[in-house]
Amino acid sequence: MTASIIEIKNLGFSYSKNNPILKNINLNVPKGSIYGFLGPNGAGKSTTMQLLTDILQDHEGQINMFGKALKEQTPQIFNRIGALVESPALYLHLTGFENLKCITSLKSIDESRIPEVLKLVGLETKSDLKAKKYSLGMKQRLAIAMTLLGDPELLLLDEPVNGLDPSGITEVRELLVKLNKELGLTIFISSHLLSEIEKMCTHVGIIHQGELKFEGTMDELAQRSSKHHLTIQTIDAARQLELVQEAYENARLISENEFQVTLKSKEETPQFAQFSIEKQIPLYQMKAEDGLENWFLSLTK
Amino acid sequence: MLENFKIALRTERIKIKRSGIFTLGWILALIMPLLYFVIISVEGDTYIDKVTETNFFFNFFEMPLQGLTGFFLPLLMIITASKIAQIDHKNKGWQLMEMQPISKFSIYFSKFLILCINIVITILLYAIASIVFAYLYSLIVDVHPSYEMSLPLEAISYACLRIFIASLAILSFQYALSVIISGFIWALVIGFAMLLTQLFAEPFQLNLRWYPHNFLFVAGSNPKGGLIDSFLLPAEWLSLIYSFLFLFLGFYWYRFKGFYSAFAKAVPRTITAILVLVICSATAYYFITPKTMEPFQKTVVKGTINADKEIKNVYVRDLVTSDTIASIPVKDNAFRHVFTQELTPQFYNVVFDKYNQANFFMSSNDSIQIKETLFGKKATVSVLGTRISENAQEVFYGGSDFSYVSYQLENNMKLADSEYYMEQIYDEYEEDLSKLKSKISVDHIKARPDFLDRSKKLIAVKFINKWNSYLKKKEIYNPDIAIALTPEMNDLLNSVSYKDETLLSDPLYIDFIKNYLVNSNKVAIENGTTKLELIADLDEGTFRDKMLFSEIRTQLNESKKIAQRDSIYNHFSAVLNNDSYSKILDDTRKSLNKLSRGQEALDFISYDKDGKEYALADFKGKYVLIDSWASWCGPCKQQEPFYVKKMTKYKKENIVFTSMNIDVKKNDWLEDLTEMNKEILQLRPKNINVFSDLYNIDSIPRFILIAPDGTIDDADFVRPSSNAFDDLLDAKLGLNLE
Repeated sequence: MTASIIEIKNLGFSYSKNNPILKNINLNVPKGSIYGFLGPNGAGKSTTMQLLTDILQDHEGQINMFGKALKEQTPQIFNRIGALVESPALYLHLTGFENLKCITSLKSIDESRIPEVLKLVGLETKSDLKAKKYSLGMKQRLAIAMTLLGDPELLLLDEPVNGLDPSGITEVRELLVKLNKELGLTIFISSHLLSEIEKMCTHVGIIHQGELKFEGTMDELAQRSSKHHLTIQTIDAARQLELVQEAYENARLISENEFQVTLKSKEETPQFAQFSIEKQIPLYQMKAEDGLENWFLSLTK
Repeated sequence: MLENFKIALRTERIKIKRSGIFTLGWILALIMPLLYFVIISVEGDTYIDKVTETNFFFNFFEMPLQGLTGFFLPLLMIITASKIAQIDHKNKGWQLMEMQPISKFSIYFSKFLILCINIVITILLYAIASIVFAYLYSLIVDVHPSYEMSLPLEAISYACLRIFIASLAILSFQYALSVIISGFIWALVIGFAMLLTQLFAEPFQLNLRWYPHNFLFVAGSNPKGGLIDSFLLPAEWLSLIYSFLFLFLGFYWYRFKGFYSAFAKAVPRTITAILVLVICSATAYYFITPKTMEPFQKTVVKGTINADKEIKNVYVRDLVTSDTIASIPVKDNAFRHVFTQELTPQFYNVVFDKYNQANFFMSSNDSIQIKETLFGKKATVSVLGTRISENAQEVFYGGSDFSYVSYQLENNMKLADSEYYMEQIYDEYEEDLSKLKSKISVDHIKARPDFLDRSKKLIAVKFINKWNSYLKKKEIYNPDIAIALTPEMNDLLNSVSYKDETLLSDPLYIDFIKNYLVNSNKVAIENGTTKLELIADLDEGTFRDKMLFSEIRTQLNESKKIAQRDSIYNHFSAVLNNDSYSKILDDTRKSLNKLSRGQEALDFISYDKDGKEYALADFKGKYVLIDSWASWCGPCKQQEPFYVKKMTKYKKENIVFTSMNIDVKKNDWLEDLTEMNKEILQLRPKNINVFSDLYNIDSIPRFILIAPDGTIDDADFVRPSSNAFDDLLDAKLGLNLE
């Protein structure tokens, strides 16, 4: 078993006595993983992030990082961690370069590292532009660049793709995967949308209403949600549904021309197509629904 | 730790780029010196008359200083504290900073240090600007020659340091507020409200000794420090204590994210907070509470003299009798005297040869330090020592403000309503008492009980007088209305004894007693008893002697005839049990007699600027008017244009107008002569002391009129500025007979 970089035991937190935000959270983030921390808005993700960065204090339970209690290591531990909480924390009146200079100053790093990280996030041509003139994606990338200074072993990213357009999301995602592969960074990333991060994560933790609902690898997650949903576009869906329901019990009407059927696994799909053709159901479109997403939604409903 | 702090500071310096924090400091520092420079360039230096030992540059630094400390500096602190916190509030920089290898202590205090540095730079820039503008002004305009022109770097640095310390309370408060509240508006609103409170409270003389903005105001109003030798004023100590408390509260609040977690969530934090609060409150209470000065083991009057004239002796005199209690020789411009006798707590009179005098309060076991400054015509006397607060009070009997009840009385309003008058008089009495109590020096020294008791009684005298005036008027207009004294009025009337010796140094009380005697012996007065007889009938003792002395002297001065004076003196001085008093009165009588009308005017020799000598005998057959004056004497110079006018008017009459300069400095006289009227006979006695003794010149200007037969006509003739001058002179010269 690989060593855990972050180890959370029985973590609990509340702002006031009767209103706990986090209840008995246990987490393990293995070295070299990209750990997706999932949960809907208000589940306690940001609180957990703030506890991990010691911005919030006075919690119950224990947080260990790099094998030692977090408390004993702050604030020097931030030499090994790059953190981005509630992005983007940038000084808008400063240029991109000056923003990075703040960090090199704080981490006592040589300024020559700045062009390197700028290049890494693709902002090398915009370094003298004030941050307030950056687009949202550029701001996000600059914020990530700031976390990358000082060669951290661990990145803590809170909703790093929040508010980005799809191409922005892709940019960030590719950047993170690259960092993980090339530099071996452990990345702990939180999001409220599974689809945003499922493509890059190796491990997932799901939190809902302050409680951890699931923790495991992506494969383990996939097994949990093995059932397969198909959405079929046709004409007069209600009539077709009756035909389908003779063989498949788990089917339901979505709209006038759409119905959904649940299969035991993906492998049953050709079989269902065969069945449809035999029953002369007009197949305009067959779409496989994301099982993980649905499972996640049901989990957090 | 230190390294960590330096890193944070370096980062903050990057972050405040383009924030305008320092630029604002520069601008606000320059406004007041520039404004003052423009104003005095246009209006002229209006303080020329007050120049005594004043440093030109320090004066330029001091004059606009209250604009800086009263408004622009607090303004700068409110804005910059908000700005520097907003840099991180707006950009979520607090979290960013906290996720760096840097302690929260460094984050919080590096920002505070930047604010402090900005304040220091602003204050220094203000100082430099005022020196530069002062220098520019001295290039454009001729500076008054009695200014001291050295660069007072030490005094200015001391003032700057204290202003900085005094500003820390507001700065740490505003900073804590700006960090705790993430919206910018509240810190600004609260900051401005507090600033305005100070500005509005100031004219009402509310004593806000505990108020943070007051600390800075006090430091700015007293750039040279307090009256006792302490490096910092209580206001500045308070500023340090407050800023420690605000920094502690602000930092804990910030570090633990909220009031509850900072001070209530964990027991050790609660204990720390309570401990800090208790210590700060206790020390602050100590500095806010006014203190009285400890009595000294001996009774000492000492002092220094800084003058352009030689002062040989300093006299301490009784105020009523002018009896000299101590004659102190001056050596190397310093004097010192230890009193062995008991001294009543009251005002005494200190006289610097014949130049100037001042009153000061003292009693036994006081150490009084007097500083006399006399340059040209301007003299200042400052009194320090164990009676600072007492001697700093300008008004001895409460407020000198408008009195509504006196106004009503003057206009005979509501005379029938005695209860209304009792109530009004008592209210104003209480108001004056509260004013008396609230007088506290910048060193937070309050007057001692003996002074307060005495002042309280004098205030009561003032209001009993008002009540008596009311009674008089009521007697005339509404004699039928009976008066039932309210308990309060009764208390007021009984609060002053009619035999209080300690109050006799105050003319108010002496008149009060005289009026009392007259009013309570109406029958006797109607039967021909005089005021002097009433006083002589009082119980034997110093009280009677002093009263009698005062009244005899008044009457001697009022009498015009020698026989009358001698009769008063012979009759009543025998009653006095005090030989020294008798002697003074005898001298007064003799010198008054000597200068009575018809006595021979004793001759003396004087000379003009060319050395030509004159004697009174030379003018026999003509009236001679002598104006005694000195170059340093302002009132004398005020009379001069009037004197010239009168000379022109009576040029053709049988009178000689002379001016007799009795200034010790002959050169000043010669200088003055160049711009004085040449038709007036400008003279100077050959021996000034002889002349002064012959004619009892104890104050100038003094006009002496000598008759054509060489006798005294009037030894204290009216001043030329007086309306009566022409009538009187016309009568003498026989001009208005038509």
